[in-house]
Amino acid sequence: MHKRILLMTIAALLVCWAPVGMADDGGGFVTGTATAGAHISDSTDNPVRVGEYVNLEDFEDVMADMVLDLFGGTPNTLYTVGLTYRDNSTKSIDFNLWTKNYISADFGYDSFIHNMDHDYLQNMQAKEASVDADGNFVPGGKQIYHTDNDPMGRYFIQYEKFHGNVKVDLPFMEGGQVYGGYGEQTRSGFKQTMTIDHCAFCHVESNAQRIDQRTETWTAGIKGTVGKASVQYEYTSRDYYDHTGAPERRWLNASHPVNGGSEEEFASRDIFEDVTLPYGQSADSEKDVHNVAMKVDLDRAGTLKGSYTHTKSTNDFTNIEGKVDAFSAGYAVKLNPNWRLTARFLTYEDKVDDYFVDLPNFRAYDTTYGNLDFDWNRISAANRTVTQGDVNLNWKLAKRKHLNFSWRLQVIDRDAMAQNQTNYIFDGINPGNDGATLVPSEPYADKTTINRLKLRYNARLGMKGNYNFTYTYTNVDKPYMNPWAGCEHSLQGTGSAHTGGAAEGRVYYYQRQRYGNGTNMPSQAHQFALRGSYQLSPRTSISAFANYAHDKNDDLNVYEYTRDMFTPGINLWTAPSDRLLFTLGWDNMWVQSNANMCPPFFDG
Amino acid sequence: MFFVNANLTASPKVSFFMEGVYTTAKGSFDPFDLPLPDDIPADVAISPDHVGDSKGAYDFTGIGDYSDLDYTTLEGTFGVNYKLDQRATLYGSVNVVDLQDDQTYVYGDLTGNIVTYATGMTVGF
Repeated sequence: MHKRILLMTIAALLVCWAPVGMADDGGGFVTGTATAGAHISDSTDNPVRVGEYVNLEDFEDVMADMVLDLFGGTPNTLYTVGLTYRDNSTKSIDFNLWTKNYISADFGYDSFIHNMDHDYLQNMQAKEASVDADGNFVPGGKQIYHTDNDPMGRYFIQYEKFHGNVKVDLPFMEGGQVYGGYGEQTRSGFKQTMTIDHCAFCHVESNAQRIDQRTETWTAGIKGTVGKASVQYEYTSRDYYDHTGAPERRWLNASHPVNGGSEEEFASRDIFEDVTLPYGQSADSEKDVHNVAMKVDLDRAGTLKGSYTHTKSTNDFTNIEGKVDAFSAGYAVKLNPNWRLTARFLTYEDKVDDYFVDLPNFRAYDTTYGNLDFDWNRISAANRTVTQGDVNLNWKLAKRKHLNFSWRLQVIDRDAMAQNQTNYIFDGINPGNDGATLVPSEPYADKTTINRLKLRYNARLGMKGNYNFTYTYTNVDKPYMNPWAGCEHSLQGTGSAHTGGAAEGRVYYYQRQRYGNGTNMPSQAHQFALRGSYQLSPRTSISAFANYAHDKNDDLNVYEYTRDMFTPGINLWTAPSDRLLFTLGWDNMWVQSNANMCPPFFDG
Repeated sequence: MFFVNANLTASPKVSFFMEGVYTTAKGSFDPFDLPLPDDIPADVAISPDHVGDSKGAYDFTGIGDYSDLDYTTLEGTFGVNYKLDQRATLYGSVNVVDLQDDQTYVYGDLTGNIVTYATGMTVGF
């Protein structure tokens, strides 16, 4: 906060300094508008969704409105000032200054409120039915239920954003400049946080959680041109802080949900029970970014660009580090008056520390079929090496007619596209006579190769209009997916330890013999876009657009994923007379997609 | 979504402005069936809520009703400007936002309405 106050003080001094300089220089000017007023709001029924970004606290009170826009300057100075005040939660200010004395600066502050819905969890209530000795249906013992510890809670987040940047020109170097900046974003308020107890979603508990988060960003850099080469170096440091302590709750003793027995059996499947623990914790983190960029002007031979970026991120709670090294290069040349070629190359490696997950043994008491060690080494799904190339060719077919062709090839090589904690291998060994063996999983790793072709034609319709058409085809070999994410074979065979009391072939257990791959990423995608505008008369113009996309993935093992989207729209501007002006518009978005549904059964 | 915006200069001193936006948003699941193994008998009632046969206990055709979304939002603004002189203008406006929730479920009934009256003066310099 003290940094923000310091920078706002500098901004205020600069604001004061600008008119002083104007007075010294003479010939200054100031133009703008100032608005002062008031508003009052009232609501009926539920105001939260309809007033999603409105401060609901000040309803039925008269609130001041203020808007100020200034543009001023002198022969050596230009500045703008903007200020908006609607209520204590919704306000903004910005200031920009340019001088001939090598200094320019900009400062800004914005704030607004976001109201959020309250999930009442009413859908989380059900109880199994049992049959008594007379054959009548009676309520059973197992149930799904919820507890809302804040039933009257209203949730909101207050966003605030501040930035301040100062640039100083270096007169001894062409394009030379040093610059620095500070930015701060804060989120404060309350949100709804849910926790689940043992047995997953049978008991969902809701609480209000306080939010007080802050992100600070410092930036410093230098740039300049020597001969035909322009060079820039920039350093960015970003820190994230959560100023709230994580809330806590009590997790129950693990036991049979109806009779309270079988504690040893239930406890052996948990890593904690009968204990108070924090939840919803957000870890402090820090990030440092170094970037070096160069651009060389090769005159008629084109322009060459290159950059290198090194990023290091640290999670201060787990001490896990992530590093990214990225190289990029680009070349642009005008081949002849009608042809222009652009080529780009990018490669980066993202590597996050592995994390060893140390777990108590599963079913430790069962030394015959259990006592299984599922400690595992988590390999981050963020780890990857990405290589990407782009070629763009622009062809001027005729006056006001252009054809553009581009091709992108991207290869994403991951150490672990996905990694489940355990796999259930149906090998007839252990546990259970029929048997399926739980083993620590191996990461599922594979390369994703993306080819994207894009064709675009644009033309002008004389002086009155223009239109363009774009077609994009994308082919993805092995798109990102969650392997073995859903769908289970029922346990099979006879004498299974897991089939007691149920008919064969009807017992399903979470994470056993899952085999269905799941994704909403296409292996093939077609996209069409058409848009145009035309001036019908000096008083009327029309514009329209239509987008259609068809995605599909027929590489999955249990279903074919499809997604279709159609988005048309039309706008009309007309001025029937000098005193009447209309703008009319219509747009529509239609989306249809499918997914494979494998619902879990209550009680297994 | 439909929107309309109109400005009318009624006289050198008086002008009116109007804006309206009408938005509908709907979403739903198609009903689906859950195929079951053939060994499940079809003529055994499973629970009072699933009268019929045992396969009815696994009837998911109603899931679309639970997951429907159906919102309609109408926002309208009407205002008037009165020019006092070349630099100063008085204004007054009323803004109405009305949301109709026709499929209440997880978040309860989100139907709501907000009316805002505003007035003030703008000075140019």
